[in-house]
Amino acid sequence: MAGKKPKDIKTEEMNKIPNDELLIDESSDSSNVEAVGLDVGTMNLVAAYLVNDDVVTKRIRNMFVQTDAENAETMDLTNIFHAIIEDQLYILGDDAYNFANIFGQTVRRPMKNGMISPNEIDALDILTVMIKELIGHAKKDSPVCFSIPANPIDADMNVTYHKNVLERIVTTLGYKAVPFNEAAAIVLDECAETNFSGIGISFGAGMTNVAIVYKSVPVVTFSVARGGDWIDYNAAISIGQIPNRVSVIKERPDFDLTSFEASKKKERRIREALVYYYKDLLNYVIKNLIAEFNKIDLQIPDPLPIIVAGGTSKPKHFVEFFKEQFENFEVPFEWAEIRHAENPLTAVASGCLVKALQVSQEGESD
Amino acid sequence: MGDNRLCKTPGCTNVAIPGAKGYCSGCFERIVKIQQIELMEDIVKLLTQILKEGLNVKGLENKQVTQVVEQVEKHVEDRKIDFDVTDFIPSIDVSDVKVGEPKKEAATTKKEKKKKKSVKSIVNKLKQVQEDK
Repeated sequence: MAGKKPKDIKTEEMNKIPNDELLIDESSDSSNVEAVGLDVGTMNLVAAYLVNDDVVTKRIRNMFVQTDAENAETMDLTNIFHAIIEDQLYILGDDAYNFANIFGQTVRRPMKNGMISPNEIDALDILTVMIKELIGHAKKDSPVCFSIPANPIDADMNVTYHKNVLERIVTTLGYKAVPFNEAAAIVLDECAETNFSGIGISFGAGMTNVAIVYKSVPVVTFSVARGGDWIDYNAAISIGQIPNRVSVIKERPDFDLTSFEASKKKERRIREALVYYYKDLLNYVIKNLIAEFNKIDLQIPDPLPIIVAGGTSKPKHFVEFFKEQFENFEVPFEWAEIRHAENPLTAVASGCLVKALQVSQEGESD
Repeated sequence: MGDNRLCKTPGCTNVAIPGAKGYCSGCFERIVKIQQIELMEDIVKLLTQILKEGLNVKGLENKQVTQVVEQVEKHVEDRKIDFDVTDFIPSIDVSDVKVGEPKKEAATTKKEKKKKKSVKSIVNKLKQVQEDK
């Protein structure tokens, strides 16, 4: 293909270790497995695969900090996941958090609102490096089912570019690429009992994805461009704080949607603002779920389970809070229950793994 | 399987990729490239026409229009030589991406808790449900 020469990405020779040598044990090697599920989220990248019938997950924070490569000479980067692109040093993944403080920066992300960020010129390179770290180069033509969002109904964004770029990354690593809706993946992972009928809602950092799935077929999929980041931003500006500060409190294990209690007044204010914006987000999602359901002529004979997952659904009593909001609406379908996925942070990756295994087995039988 | 349609370019045996209107990635890139060059050529034609017909373009003098035409022509010529398709579908050659890799694993790896149903039984159920439809 005619094209620009790839960017000059230099190698840190002293740290140049073949990827396979980094593997601690068999369970960390995803490159030789039958199939891989990959959740490509704004905040986290999660891969899931099977080792002796057990699901193993690998996670990397989908973020980076950038500084001049000159700084690399003064730093010990032995155990730091990093890349040098042209004359810039990028600290990637979980280490980015720590280094952001050292450099006095905020972490940056290759993705924004659930898709590849148009604001980060090196987003693709960084995303490629991180996905490669997660799944490695394929040793056989295994399928990787990766999550994609639905087009948002409230923002002028289209998933086509994002999907094609991810497909290119995955195929370049030697895998067969299978894109799949992230909310529908939750239903594949969680709703075998109801013959894969249910409503999956993925509350992510960048957006919230919803899928109404009937007998494994996603009949309605949509997203809204509001998620955890939207909550952080709006809560922060309401009380004159920076979003990072609000985010830290939101991610505390004791953050509870049914109580603002905290020892310090300032923190109570933040918690209160967060709860209000959580409530606003949930009402917005429910209203849009009803509106989208009403657009189609769908008669579903059995009550549908509603499964919620994603990092933004982590606070204490999230399900009870969601149920409370949900019961305020007249919904045009029967629902059986509202519950969390067994593991809300890896449900999308696990659902993608189910899809990837199905594709793999179909390929074998062809 | 429905996902494995062949590229609709006659003679091409590659698999069509989603979002590429039935083409494989290679053919789709070539089409994008051709369309972009055609677009640029149309712009040049249009600007030349404006110049020749002496249309009264508000705020633009002939000299400025000439300069714009020259710039666009040069741009088209440049793109013919080394067209940057990465503006539309990025080219990612992972084999050329080299990073300073850490001695410890960068990702957090863990074995998930056993679920009520094994993943393999879920996959079998999925196949059964899809066959029953």
